[in-house]
Amino acid sequence: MLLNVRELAEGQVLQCDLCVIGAGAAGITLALRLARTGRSVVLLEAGGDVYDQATQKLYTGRESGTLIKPDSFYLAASRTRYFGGSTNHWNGWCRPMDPETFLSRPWVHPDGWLLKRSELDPYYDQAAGFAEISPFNYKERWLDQPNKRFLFNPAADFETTFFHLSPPTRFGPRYRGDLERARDVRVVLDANVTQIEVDADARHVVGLEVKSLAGRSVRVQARGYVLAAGGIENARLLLASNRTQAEGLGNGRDLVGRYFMDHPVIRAGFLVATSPQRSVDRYTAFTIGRREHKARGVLRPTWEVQQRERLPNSLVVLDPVAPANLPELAREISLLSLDMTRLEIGSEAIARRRVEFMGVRVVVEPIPDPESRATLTDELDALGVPRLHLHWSLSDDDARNLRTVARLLARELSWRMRGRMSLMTTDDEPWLRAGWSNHHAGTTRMHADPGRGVVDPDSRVHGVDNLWIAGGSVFPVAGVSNPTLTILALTLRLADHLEERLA
Amino acid sequence: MSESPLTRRRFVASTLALAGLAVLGPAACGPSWDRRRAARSLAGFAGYAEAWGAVGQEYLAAYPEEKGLGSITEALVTDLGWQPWEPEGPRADEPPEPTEGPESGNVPESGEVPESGEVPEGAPVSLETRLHDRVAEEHRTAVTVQVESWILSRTEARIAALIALLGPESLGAPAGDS
Repeated sequence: MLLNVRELAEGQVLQCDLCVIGAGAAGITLALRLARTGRSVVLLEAGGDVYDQATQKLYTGRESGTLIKPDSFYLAASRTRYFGGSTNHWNGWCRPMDPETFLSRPWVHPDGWLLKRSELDPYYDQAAGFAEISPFNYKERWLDQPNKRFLFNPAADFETTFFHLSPPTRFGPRYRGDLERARDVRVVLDANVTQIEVDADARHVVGLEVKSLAGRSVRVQARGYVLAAGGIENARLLLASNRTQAEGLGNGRDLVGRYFMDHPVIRAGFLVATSPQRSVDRYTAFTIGRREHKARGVLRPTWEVQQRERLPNSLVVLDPVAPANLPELAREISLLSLDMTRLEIGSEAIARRRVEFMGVRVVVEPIPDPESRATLTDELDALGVPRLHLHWSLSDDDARNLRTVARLLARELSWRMRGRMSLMTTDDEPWLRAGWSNHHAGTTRMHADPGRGVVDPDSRVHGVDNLWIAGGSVFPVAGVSNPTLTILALTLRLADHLEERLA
Repeated sequence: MSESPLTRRRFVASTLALAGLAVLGPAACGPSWDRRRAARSLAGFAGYAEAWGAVGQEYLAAYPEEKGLGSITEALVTDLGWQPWEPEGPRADEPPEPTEGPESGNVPESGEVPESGEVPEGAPVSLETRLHDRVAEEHRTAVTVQVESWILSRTEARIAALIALLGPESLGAPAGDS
């Protein structure tokens, strides 16, 4: 059933087994999954069916940091506040986190994930269904097949790995019908949670205060609550729910909002490759399987290289590039490269080589930093909720890591006579040509120790017995994959847990 | 005539000469050789001489201290361990002598790059093989320079400079279509 707050009476109380706050990828998946179990679910969506500027403006706030500046509109534009959440502007790139992301890597952060990748694998398979992609084959058997068509083989310092490309699934329109048909699910639009209400010692959520921009107020009472409002808004709602616990709900250790992460991405340069077959298509998009799902290749330094160089994980994304956008000397360098490769493979073979130009983007896993954080300001939004100040700083280590990956790629390409690379970044201005990825993570990080994490391994807020969190905010380290598939997998894992808890 | 005593001036002069030999390496230690001719040999493999020349011009503009044809040639000769006065080994892309084994003479079709060909001990190594191996090693060990934004090995940048200084038009027609 789909409702709007305006259809409810002022002060009406909705009761259910589980209330999910936020109808994005996580919230919709959780509601649909639990709908099959006979639990009654209320799914609250802050926005309406379509984009609305007044609602979107509830996101605005102050911004500072290495890449985001006061006029970056990062808070306002890097997520979407209407039914379907940020899947409304999602590119659809899906990839599980690499197994090493789950390990403790002291050069990234002493805390790895509390889970093993193998624990998430079955959920990744289910998540693939929600994202409308083929299930991942975890042995990556593709690597054995079209390897000739890729620039690097698994023996090299870089390996080719894959993203599956979701259509992309816009979770709102795609699952609207399923939600409407689900007997035990009520979706409520224009339902902004303004306060999570707790008992006197802030250990149990007793209800939610919900308001619409049109001025209607209602309440929700449930046995359990799941915050699924996004990597930034999850923290904001906890911090703003401070009537009982002054520092914010679940924030007794001053961890809520800290460790904010996004994936910095930099246009590192260009490469010219001399390869026996056309490669660039494999790095842009290609079709797999009988159902014609799309995928694309990316490169990443192998785990061995990450350990040797003490690098966080990273991805190299290759893009087609128009001749007009190539840097100076591109053609000349391609010919020079061909001459050098000819010395190795001979004149006959070089005649069959192709020259391809590609743009090189490097995405690097950020180093978790407690000073990158969301905090409340004194300014209130139209519903009386304090606006955020988001500070996201990147360190010299982050900059060094980006440049190291680019240099390693140049080295690999050149010494194996695959081609040459132009490097456009400089030590003096490491963040020139850099941007972000809209992958918000870390602000309610998972850790078994309440002194080091906001949620426990079941995604439950430490110290609060009936409040869980879904979404990228629970990631203790961000890995380098786009987060949606992992968010879905963790949500499905949470659904199993909640099914048991709410039995 | 008795030997003159080792004066301070003679000592300094001897030391400088020894240091010079050390710097020039094998190039300075061998018989006399024609640097211009050696330079042409070094540049001779370049099929796309015009392209190399253009890269060389940019390199020379960025590294003006490299502008001497003789000094670049000597540096290359030293780095390559090449003795221009000795006969060359077979060219890198000449068909190898038949040997036993299933892979002899195969040219790789895939993106796989084979290990550098093993040369029997004592056999002369061609200049082109030396060049290839040196460039690969410099890339591997980051002995590189940036020309415009492109990362090149120091040796390939110097070859480009050499071709620019010689004049690419003097090196003959390109080896293939561009």
